[in-house]
Amino acid sequence: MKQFVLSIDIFFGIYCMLLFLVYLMLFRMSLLSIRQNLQKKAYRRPQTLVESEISPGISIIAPAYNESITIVNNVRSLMTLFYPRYEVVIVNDGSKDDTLQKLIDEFDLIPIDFAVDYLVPCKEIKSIYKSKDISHKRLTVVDKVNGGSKADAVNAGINVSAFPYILNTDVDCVLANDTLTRLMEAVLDAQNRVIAVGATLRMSNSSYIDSGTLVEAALPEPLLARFQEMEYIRSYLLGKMGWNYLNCIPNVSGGLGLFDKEILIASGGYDPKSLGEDMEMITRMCITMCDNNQKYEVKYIPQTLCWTEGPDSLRMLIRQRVRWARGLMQIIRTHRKVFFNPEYKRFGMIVFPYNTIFEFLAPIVEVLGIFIYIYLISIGHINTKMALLLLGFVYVFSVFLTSFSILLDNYVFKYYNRRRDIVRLCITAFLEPFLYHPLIVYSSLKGYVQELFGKKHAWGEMERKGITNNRKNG
Amino acid sequence: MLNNGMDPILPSLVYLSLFLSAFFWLMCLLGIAFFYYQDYRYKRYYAKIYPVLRDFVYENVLIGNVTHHFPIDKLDIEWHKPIVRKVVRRVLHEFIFNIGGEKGKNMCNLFNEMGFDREAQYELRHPAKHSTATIRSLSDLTLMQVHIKDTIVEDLLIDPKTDVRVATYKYLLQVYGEAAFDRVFKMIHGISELDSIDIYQSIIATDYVGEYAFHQWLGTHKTFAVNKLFMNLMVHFQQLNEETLWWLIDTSTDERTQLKAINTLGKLLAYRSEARLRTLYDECEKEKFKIEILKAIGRLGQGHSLHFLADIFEQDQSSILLKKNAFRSLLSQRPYSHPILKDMEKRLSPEDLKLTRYVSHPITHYI
Amino acid sequence: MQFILAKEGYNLLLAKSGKEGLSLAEKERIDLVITDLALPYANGYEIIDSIRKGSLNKDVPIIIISGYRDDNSLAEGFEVGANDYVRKPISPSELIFRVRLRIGHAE
Repeated sequence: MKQFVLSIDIFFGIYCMLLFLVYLMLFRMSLLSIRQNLQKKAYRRPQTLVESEISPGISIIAPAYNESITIVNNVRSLMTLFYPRYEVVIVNDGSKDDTLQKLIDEFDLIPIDFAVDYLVPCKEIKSIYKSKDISHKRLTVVDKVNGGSKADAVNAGINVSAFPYILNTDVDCVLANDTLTRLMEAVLDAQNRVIAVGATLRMSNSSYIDSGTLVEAALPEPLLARFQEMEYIRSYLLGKMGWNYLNCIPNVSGGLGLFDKEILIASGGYDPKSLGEDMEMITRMCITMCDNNQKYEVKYIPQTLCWTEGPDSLRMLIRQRVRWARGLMQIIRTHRKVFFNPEYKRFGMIVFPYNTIFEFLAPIVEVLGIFIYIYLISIGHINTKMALLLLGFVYVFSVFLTSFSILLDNYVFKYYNRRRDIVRLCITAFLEPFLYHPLIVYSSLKGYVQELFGKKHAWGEMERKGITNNRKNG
Repeated sequence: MLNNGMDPILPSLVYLSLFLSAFFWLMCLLGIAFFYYQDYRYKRYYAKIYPVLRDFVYENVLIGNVTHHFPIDKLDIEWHKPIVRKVVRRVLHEFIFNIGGEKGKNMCNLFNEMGFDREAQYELRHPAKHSTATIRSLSDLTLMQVHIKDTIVEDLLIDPKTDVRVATYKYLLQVYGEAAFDRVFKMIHGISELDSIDIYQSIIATDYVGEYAFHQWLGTHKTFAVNKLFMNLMVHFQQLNEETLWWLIDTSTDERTQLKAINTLGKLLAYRSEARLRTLYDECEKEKFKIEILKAIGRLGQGHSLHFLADIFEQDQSSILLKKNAFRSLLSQRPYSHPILKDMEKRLSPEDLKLTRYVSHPITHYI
Repeated sequence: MQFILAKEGYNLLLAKSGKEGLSLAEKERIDLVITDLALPYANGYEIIDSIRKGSLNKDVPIIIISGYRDDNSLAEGFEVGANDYVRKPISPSELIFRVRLRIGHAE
C-alpha cells in the first residue's frame, strides 16, 4: 500500500512540476514575444500595406448557416475593412431561413454561370451570386448543399476563392478594420514561409456594436461570458503568444485565421468529419510541411482583432466544450504517429506532446488527482494542514496566472474604456477556479467519454440573438 | 512525498511558492495599475497639446505660409518633459501624414526646428540597447531630410539587426535618392518580404524618375524578398530586361523567385519571350508554373500563341483552373483572338461554354 | 482638411462615418462630395454608388481622397462614378484647385 501511494505521489508530483515549469516558461516567452511585437509595431509605418499596390490579395471566407438576423450587417462590415486588395466569399451552407434572400435583396445579387474546380472536397455548389453593383464587386456569395459542418462550407469557399491567402472567419465575428493589414504584416515579416497567422479573440456579448462594426469594447456583463473572456485572454496572450516565441503554436482558432491557400490545398483542406476542424487543419498543414522538408512558421499576434459572440447559456457552453474535447481526442488519435517523432521536428517533439500530455490529459489527471487526494486524506495519509497549504498554493498560482495574462493584455492595448471593467476582470479571476474551471473539466471528460463510446455528435444550432445593439447600460 | 508531514523541506517549499505566487500576483496588479496610469497620462497630455499644436500649424503653415523660423517660443508647451515631446512628435506625424506638397515640406521643417533633429542625431550617436529608438530617429531624420555623418551610416548599414538596416536603407534612399542606390543595393540582405514592400514604397514615394538599371542586382543566390524588390521596381519603372529574367528563371532554385520572374515578364510585356514561355510551359510539370505562364502570355501576347492557348483550353485533361486562365488570356488578346473565339464557340461542350461565360462575364472580377 | 476648405469660404457638412455620409447625401442639397475610401459602416465605393443612384444629388461631382495608392483602387473609384481621385498625403493648394475646378470659387 505504502509503495503504491508513493508511486502515485511521485507521478502527480512530477506532472505538477512539469506543468509549473511549462507555465513559467510560457510566462517568460509570452512576455518576450509580445514585447518583440510591440516594438516592431512602435516603429513600423502602419500604412505601408494599405498604400502599396503590391500587397498580396486576400480572400475572406465566411460560412453562414441560418444567420438571417445579422447577415446583412456583418457582410457590410466585412466589406469595409481597410485593405486595397481583397474579396469576400460568403458561403451559404444550405440555410433553412432567408439568409440568402436577404443577401440577394440587399446587395443586388444575380446568379452567374460558373465552373469550380473541387480542389478540396466539399458538397455540391448550387450557384454563385455576384453583385450587379460595381461597388460590391468584392462580394461573392456561394450557395451550396448543406454539408453538416463548418469545414465543408469553408472548403467550398476555398474552391471559389481567387487570392493566394485565405482569411477564415465566421459571419458572426466582428473584425477590427485593420485586421487584414495586421495579419498580412505578420505573414510577410518572417524569414520562412508563414502558413497561418491568428490573433486574439474576445467576447462581443456586451460590447457596443453598430451595424456590424465595433464601437466600444466592454467586459461582458453575464458571469459566464466574462469567464470565457478571461479564458480567451489567458489562452491567447499567455499560451499562444508564449508558444509563438518557439514557433510551436498548436492551433489557430476558427474564429480568425489567415492561411496560405497553397498549403491548405496541398494538405487536403478542412476535414468535415473532425469536430475540432481548425486545430486538425493546422496539425495537417504542419505535417505536410514537415513531410516536404520545408521550413515554416505559424504565428500569432497579440492584438485583439476579432470579437465573437460566445455561447451565453450553460448548455451551449458545455456543448461547445464537449465538441472541442472530442476534436482534440480525434486529432491525437489520428495523428499519433507524430508523437515524439523526430522527423516532425518541433511539431513532433514539442507541440504534439504538449497537446497530448497537458491539454488532453490535464482534465483526467486533475480529476483522478482529486479523488486520490480525498481518499488519502480520509485514510489519514496526508496531514490536513499540508493538504490545505498545497491547495492554497495551487489556487493562488492560478489567480496569479490569470492576473498575469490580464497584465499582458493591458500591455498590448487598453481595450476597456471603463476602469471598473478591469477591476471586475481581476475579481473574476478569484471566482474562476471554483465556478468555471470545474465546468470545463466536466465538459472535457464528457467529451472524451462520448468520443470513446462513439456517440454521434449533434452539432446544435446556436441561436443568435443579434448583436446589433445590446449594450445594456452606459 | 506528501504523506510525510514531518519532512521539513517540503512544507517550507510550499510556503515559499505560496508566498511567491501571492507576491507576483500583487506585482501583476501593480503592473496593471501602472499601464493604466501610463495610458491615462498620455491621453491627458494629448488632449492638452493637440489643440495648441493644431492652432499653431493652422496659423503658421496653412494660413501664414511660414517656411522657416517658426515662432516656436510662442508655443505654450512644457518642452522639457519626455512625454510632451513624445506626444508632440506623434501629433506632428499625424499632420505630416495628411498634408503633402509644399505645405507638407514646411511641416517637416517645423518638425526639424522643434529640435527633433538634434534629439534624433543624439540617439544615433548613442545607440541604446533597444533598436526602437534608433529606428524611430532614422525615420524622423528621413522626414526632415537631414544628412548625418557617413561613419554613423556605415555602422548602421552593418548592424546585425535587420530592422535597423532596413531603416537605414530607407533613410539613404529617401534622402539621397539615386546617389544612394548603388550603396544600398550592394548591401541589401536578410530582409523579409514586408521590408521588401516597405523599401519599394519608400523608393516610389520619392517620385524618382530615372534610368537606373535595377535588373543588375537580381541574383540567383539572393533571397526571394530581395529579388522581389528589384522585380517590383523593374515593373514600376517599366525596365524590361529579358535576358536577366530568363537567367533567373533558368538558374534560380527558389520557386517563388521563378514564378515572380515569369510574372514580371508578363507585366513588362516582354513580347520577344512569347515562344520561350510556350516551350517552358511544355517542360514544366507544376500547375502553379503553368498558370503563371498562361497569365504572362495573356499579358504580353502579340497573337502568336492563340492556338496554343486554345489547345490548352480544349484539352480534356486540363484542370478547370488551367482552362480558366487559358481562356482569360485568350480574351485579353481580343482583337487577335476574335476569329478563334468565334470558331471555338461552335464546337465547345456545354460545360466548357459555361466556363467561358463565367470567365467573360463582366461582373466576374477575380478568377 | 475641413479647415483648408472652410478657409476658402466653402460651407461644409461633416460626416464621421459612411452611414452618416449616406444619410446626409439623401437629405441635403450638396454641390460637391469629398470622401475617403476606407470608412466605417459603408466604404467609399458604396457611398458614391448610392449617391449616383439616388435622386437628390445624382449629378454632384465627387472627389475621392484616399490612402490607397494603387491603381486598382483608383480604377474602381472611377468605375463607380467618382470625378477625381487624390492620393494622401494631400497638398492643400492642390485640393483647393481641384475643388474650384469642379464647383468654382465660393461666394
